[in-house]
Amino acid sequence: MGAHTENLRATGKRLMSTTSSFSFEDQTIEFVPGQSVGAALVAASVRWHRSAEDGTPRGLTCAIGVCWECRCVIDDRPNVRACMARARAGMVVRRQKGLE
Amino acid sequence: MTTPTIAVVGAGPAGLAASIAAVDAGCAVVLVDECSLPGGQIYRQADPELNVPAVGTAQETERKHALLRRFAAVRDRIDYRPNTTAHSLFAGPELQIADEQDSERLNPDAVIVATGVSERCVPFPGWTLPGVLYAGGAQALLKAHGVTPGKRVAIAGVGVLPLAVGAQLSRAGAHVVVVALFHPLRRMVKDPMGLWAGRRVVLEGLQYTRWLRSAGVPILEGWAPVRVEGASTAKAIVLAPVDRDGHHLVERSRRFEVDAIGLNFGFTANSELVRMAGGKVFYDSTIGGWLPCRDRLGKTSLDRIYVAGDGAGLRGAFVAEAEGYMVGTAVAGELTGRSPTAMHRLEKVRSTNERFQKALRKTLELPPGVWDWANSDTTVCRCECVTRGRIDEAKSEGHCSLDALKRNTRVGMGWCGGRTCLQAAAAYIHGGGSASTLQPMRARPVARPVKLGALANPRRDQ
Repeated sequence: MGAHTENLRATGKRLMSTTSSFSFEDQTIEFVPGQSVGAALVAASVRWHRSAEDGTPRGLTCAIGVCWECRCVIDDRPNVRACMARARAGMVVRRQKGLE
Repeated sequence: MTTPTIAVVGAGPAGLAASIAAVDAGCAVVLVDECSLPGGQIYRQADPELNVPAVGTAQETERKHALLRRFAAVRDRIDYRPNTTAHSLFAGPELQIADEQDSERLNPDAVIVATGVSERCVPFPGWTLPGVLYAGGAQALLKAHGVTPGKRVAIAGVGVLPLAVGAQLSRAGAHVVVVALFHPLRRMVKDPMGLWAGRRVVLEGLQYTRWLRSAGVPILEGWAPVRVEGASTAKAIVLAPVDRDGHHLVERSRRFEVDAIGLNFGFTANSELVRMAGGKVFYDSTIGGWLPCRDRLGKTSLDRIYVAGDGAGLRGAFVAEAEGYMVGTAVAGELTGRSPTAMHRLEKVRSTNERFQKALRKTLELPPGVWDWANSDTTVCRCECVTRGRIDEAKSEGHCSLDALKRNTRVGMGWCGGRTCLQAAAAYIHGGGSASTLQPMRARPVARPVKLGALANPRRDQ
C-alpha cells in the first residue's frame, strides 16, 4: 500500500509540475501528457461538459467512449468525446450546446 | 493453399486470446479495436508516458500483464488496428470498419465478435447530472489516467464491482463516503460450491472489503439510490434501503454530500453486430440482456460468425480469456483442417469459473420494483432526452415494441445507439417484468457513430 501511495504522489507531483495545458471555456486546465481531455477536466473538478438538446447539463459518464455524454467542441470540431481525445497543449475546448 | 483470415472485433481478454490462438494455429488475423492500447475494459492500460500505478489487486495485475505479454509476443504477426470502429457486420461475413480518416470492408473467412459489455444503469431522478459516472467508468479514469472522479465519492450498485471500485478509489486517495450494495453479499453464500469454485476471486473481493474497512468506509448492504441533488453538477446523493421488490423504504433514507458518484446496475452485452448480421438472440437480464445464441465453441446461428467472452453473456475475465483461446483455436482448426489441441484444459478453466459466476449472479438480479425509481420527469434516453412520462404515454397509445417506441419517441436513436437505455426502455414497456419475449430494436448498419468523411474515403479493398 505504501508503494502505491508513493506512486500516486509522484503522479500528483508530475501533475503539479507540468507545463502542459489547454483551455476550457475561460479556464486553464493542466494535464499530464498521456491523459485524455476528459480525465484532465475531471481532475480539475470540471464536470459539466455539454448541454443536451433540452438544455440539461451533462458530463463524462461511461469514460470509455460508449455514452457520448462528454462530447465537447475541440479546436472548433464538435462532437469530440472528451474521454477518448488525448489532451494536447494549447487545445481550445469548449462546452457543446445541443446540436452544433 | 492461401492462409485463411480471421477478423477479431475487440482487444479485451477474449479478443486478445482468440487472436493469439488463431495466429498460433496458422491463420492470418486482423484485430480491430476502438481503444488506442490493447486490454479492453478490465485490462485497460494507461498511456506508458503517464506511469499510472496499478489499481487492482496484485493477482489481477499479474493476470493482465501475463496476457499482454502473450499478445506482445505475437503482435508483429497480427494486423492490429487500434483506434478503429467495427461499425457493421453482414452475412458473408463482411465486416466494415472505420477510423478517423478512412474506412474499409473486410471479407475474412471468419469473424470472431469479442465486443464485451457496456455498463447498465437503472434511471432515477438526478442520474443524468454531471459528476454521476458509471462505477466502471470511474475505475477507467483511475486505471488509464490516474484520476479519481471526485474528492468525496459515493458508489452504488449491484454485484461486486461497486466494492472493487470503492476500494480502489479509496486507496487512490479519494474520500469514499459510502458504498451501497443493492444485494447483501451473503446472497452468494447460498451457493457454497460456486463460491469454492471461484475462491481466487473471492479472496480478491475480501481484500477489497478489507481496504474499505481499514479506510473506515461504510458499506450499506440492501441499499439503493433514490435521487441525486444538484443544479449543474451532483452535490448530494440520497440512498435508502430497498425491500424485496426493489422499492425504497424512503422513511429510512440517508443523504450524503458528494462531488462524484459511481453507479453500476449490471451490464448490457454489445450484441448489435451479431444482431445486425441477422444472428438469433435470447434474453437474460442478469448477464447482458440480448445475447447471441451460440454453441460452446462460439458458433452463432450465422455461417462463419462466432462470439467469445462477455459479449456472449457476462462471465468475467477468467472465462473470457479461456473462451477466447478456445474459440480462436476452434475457428482456426475449422479453417485449416487441423485438429485443435489443449481444449480440455481450457474447458476446465472456463467451466470452473462459470460455476462461480453463477453464484455471483444472485447479486446481479434486479427485481421489478427498481423500474419504479424513475418518475415521469426522469430522463431515460439521455441522447434524445426522452422521459419516463413520454415512454409511458407512447405505451398507453399502443406502441408496445421497442421498434415502435423508437419510431414514436426517438428512444434509443441517439449517439450511444441505445446501449445506455435499451434495457430500461424494455422494462418500462414490459411492466418491469422479464423482457424475455420482447424483441430488441433492429440493429441497423453503422452501429456506432463514424465520420461520413471516413465512410466516403474507402481504402482499396484487398
